[in-house]
Amino acid sequence: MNAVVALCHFCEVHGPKIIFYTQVFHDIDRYAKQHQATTPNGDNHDNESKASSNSSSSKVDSCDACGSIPVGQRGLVSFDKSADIVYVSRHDPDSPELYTALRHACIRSLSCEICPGREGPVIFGDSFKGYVFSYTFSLKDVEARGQQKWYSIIIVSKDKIFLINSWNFFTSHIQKVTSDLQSKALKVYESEKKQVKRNPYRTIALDLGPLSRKRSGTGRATRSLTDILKDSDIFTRLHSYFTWMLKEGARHFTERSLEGPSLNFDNNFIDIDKKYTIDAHFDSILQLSQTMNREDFLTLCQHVILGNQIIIRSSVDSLVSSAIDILQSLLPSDCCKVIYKNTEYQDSWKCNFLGLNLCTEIPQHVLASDLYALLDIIPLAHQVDNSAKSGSICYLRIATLICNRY
Amino acid sequence: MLSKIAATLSFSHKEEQDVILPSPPFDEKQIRILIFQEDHHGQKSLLLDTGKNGRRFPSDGNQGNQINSDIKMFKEIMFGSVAVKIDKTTVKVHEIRIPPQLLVTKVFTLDRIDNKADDTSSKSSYARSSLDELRVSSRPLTSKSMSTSILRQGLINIPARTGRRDSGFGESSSLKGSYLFYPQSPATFHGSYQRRLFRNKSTSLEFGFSEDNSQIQEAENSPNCSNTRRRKLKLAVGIIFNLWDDSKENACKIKSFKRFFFSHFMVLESHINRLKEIINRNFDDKSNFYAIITEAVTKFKNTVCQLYSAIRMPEPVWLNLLAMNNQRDEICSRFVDTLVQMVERFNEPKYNFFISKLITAVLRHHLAWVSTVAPDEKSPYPSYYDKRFSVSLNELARSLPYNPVWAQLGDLYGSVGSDTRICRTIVVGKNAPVVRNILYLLSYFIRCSEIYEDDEITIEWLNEIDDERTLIDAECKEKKAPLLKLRAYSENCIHEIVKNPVKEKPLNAADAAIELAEKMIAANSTIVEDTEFEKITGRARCQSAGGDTSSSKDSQDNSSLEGAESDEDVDALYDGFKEIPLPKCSETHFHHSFNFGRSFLADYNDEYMPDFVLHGTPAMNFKEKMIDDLKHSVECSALDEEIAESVCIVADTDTWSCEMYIANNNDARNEVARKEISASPLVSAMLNSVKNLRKLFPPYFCMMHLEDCLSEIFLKSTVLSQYITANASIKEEQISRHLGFDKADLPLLYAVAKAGPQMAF
Repeated sequence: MNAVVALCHFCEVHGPKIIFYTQVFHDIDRYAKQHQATTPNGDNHDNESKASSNSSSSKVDSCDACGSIPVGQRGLVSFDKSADIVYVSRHDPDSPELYTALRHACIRSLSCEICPGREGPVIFGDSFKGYVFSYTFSLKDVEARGQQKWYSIIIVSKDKIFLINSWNFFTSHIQKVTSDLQSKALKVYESEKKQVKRNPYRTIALDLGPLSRKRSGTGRATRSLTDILKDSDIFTRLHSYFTWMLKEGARHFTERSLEGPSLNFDNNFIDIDKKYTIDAHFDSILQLSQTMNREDFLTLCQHVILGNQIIIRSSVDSLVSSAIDILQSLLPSDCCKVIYKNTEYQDSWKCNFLGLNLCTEIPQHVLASDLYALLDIIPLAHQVDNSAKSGSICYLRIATLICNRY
Repeated sequence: MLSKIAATLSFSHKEEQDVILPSPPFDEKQIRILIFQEDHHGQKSLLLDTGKNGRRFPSDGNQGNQINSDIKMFKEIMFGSVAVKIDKTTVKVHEIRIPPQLLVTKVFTLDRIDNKADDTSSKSSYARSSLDELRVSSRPLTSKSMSTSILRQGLINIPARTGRRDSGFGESSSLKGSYLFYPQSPATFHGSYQRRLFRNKSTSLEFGFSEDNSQIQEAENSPNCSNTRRRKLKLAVGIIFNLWDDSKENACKIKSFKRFFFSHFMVLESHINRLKEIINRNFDDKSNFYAIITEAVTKFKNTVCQLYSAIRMPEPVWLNLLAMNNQRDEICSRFVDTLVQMVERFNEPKYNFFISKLITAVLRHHLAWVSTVAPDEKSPYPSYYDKRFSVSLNELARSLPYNPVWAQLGDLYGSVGSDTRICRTIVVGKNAPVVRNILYLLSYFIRCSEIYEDDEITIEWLNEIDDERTLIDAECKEKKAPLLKLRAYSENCIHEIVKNPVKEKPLNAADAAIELAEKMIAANSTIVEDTEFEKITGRARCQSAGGDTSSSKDSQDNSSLEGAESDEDVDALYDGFKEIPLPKCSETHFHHSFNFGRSFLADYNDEYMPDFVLHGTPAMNFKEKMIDDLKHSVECSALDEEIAESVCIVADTDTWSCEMYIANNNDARNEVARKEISASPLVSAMLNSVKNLRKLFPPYFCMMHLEDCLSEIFLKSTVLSQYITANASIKEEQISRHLGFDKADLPLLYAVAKAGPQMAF
């Protein structure tokens, strides 16, 4: 799902803040490499210095309540290797544009847009800053102003239609999660309230010891989500949950559509290697026909259709295999036995399309027979620029055909 | 073919009918429209309220006294509690629970409408022959239309972003970068696949959050800067859908309407935009403003009600073939027999070869059929009789997801080529059974995918973790031994340990994990355990050594050898991150979703209706409305894309004429052209051969033959496309002579070629 899921919090000190977000990246390696590119020296020390330089402003005015990922950790990741997707959770995004968009969404979600009944879903946005599904909720906290804190889970996307189509999906699942969070917070709240009653002169902060830190100035602790829920794994869970949302959100609607039968052979999936995107190759039967004279081409086709063995030799493998692919499209799939590349001649009962190197010897009995066609693709002046695109095919005007004419 | 489809249906679904048709009773009075204005002092005043007590305008009297709490609430909801600077039109959706209401809001600053006629540079594409267009479009990556549309969608923003070094993803968002990781070169796939791929790219957030700069500039450069008074004025239009009282007997109605609302939002929004535009255009015309708005509002309400309660086609052939395994033979024989019957009766000279013409037009414009006959290279099934669920699309949806609901509407409208063209078909006639039969036939040729919605998935995340100490795994919520779950959790720890190599004495990570697991079984209290657990993991982490990976690898997930190797690289790259196992998704339970496929193929209705892809209506009295709708659809389409051309095929069974109306985005005059349709010989031959075959063969055989003919049309179009690409300067006459194609077939073949796979160059 092309979206970012984030948890926002209305901090008593800092106002609306993003505290945790999860994003999808397609291509696991690429994400990491790019990520490293932003931190040129790969050591661990660099992370902290980078974090402080990159988001120096946010670092200064953040507190426990605004924090999520522990210091020294860059974030949380989950890999979906089968689809080459990585889900990354961090405190706030590197990309300045995304940061702006999320921050904008966060502020609007917690302090501008009104949800009837205060808790619940709303969608807002424009094509400039993106569209936001926002679900606002509050958690009980003994120490908070008014004994509750406001949070929102936002889903930011450029795809307005998708957000609106998925309204029911988002609403029902986020509702479940927030009510779970709320009941958890309530439990903690109630037990803490009892303690307060028992020891009215002691603050909870002292009870919790090192976990909570007093804020200078206000004299009150701003507690993190971990403390409010008494759950040290909460962000791991949120990561898993947000990941699940992103994954399942994409699968929520599925389409099934029919397609025509395959024109391919041997029940094999097409090998990506055979998609000669860079190497010289033939794109079409038309192109192949242009590399030889018309009569030769027709003779070659005749041999193919009769089921004779077609031997193609060239110093460029991609030319051989693309020519074989094109020629075999003339035959029904079950009539093709192909060896794209071999070091020596193979008999016709083994294959009717055979790719060889130019220097490979062909036995005399083959050359003498009517039942074979040999096509040599010789680059003009022996110059084939492998790096050139398919356009270089026009250099290949010579294709020698050795066979009996009909 | 058909029996094979049954075999490939690997997922279960209930063939429920209840989701297909919305329940009809929705009254115009249930829609209420509020318009507020906010002047430059921030003063908000009500301009219009079509509430229960009739229409209310500020001129009716003292407005201040009339404002009740209801309006005050809506004013707050629509504008928001704190003013947000608005650059563009903001859209908001609210759900109000008591009383049940849905609210769509558009907030925008008044703006002068772009006058498209001013754009002298735009050239009517009628001037270009379709041959030229094909030439252009057969180079998808260099084609002007495609590349501009990519840029417009913010897909590739090279110039804006190359200079950015601080952005994590800036450098990658070049053209090359974003194409490098396509699962396969997009050029080998047909148009509807490409469209989905581009949609994914255009909505991706991986390259940061750049938006279409072109549009922003457009807005800034528009010549309204002089008009400062207007610029300051902010308007909010709110559409309130009053649902029924929240009682038990109404629950079903509410659910059904909500479903309609959220799934059809893109179409609803296009009508709201239309309303917005009328308000924008006429705002200064004080004397007529309310009259014009009242009319527009009435029309809007009427359209929405029609959209909700129109009679839908009871048995769309293609969709039912896709979905209903058990009735496949019946559907097939009924379809083939109807086709033969209609061809025998109405494909005669005295009926102007009506059926051939109509099907030619439909095949030429509703192009989604192309991908259903085009061979898919990735399909593992070579047998010619098989039709299979698309493998490529499944793969795409898994790795680069897009919104299928959006994709389906595009398919239905026939927007699958390299530039967005949309088409609707209307069958007119007093003889209802004949019109119904024709609609029925067309529902085989107007194709789209079937959408399923997984509405049973749940994730019981917090409770599960509390009780069982395991990570989220929806599959695990079935009964499994607790130890197994613990194992899953401890393996997670191992990952962590392995990935934080600290050079010290080696320690068998697997042993540590088992020890942990045992401790966890023994422990009861969750909160206490948390900290203890942290301590243990912390200690284990300190003791674990980076060198000893062999033992820990054994305990890792049953990943293959290759996987383990690449893991190493990935691990190195993700240094500093903590890996969390991927939450598994439950087996899905698919249900028919309330989707456009079933909703936008309408039956014979009393009146002409906008939006519907196919419908029948008794009389040809809607020309003005239709032309208006065509112009509108080009201006602001429901598809969230710029529309190049909007077509309406009108087939009149009273006069046996078949013509099309075309509105073109580039047409400076903003006029709608009318064109006669001529039958393509390929289509005529196809219909005749089916008719003749039916005398000798069973229906399924005839249907297979029909599919073969369609496939042949597609293959011919591929030949044409390749030939044109290779012979850039060839003339139209030469083409038909060299390739042996009938000239009358060429328009159809061009259109199909554009929807087919684009040649890679």
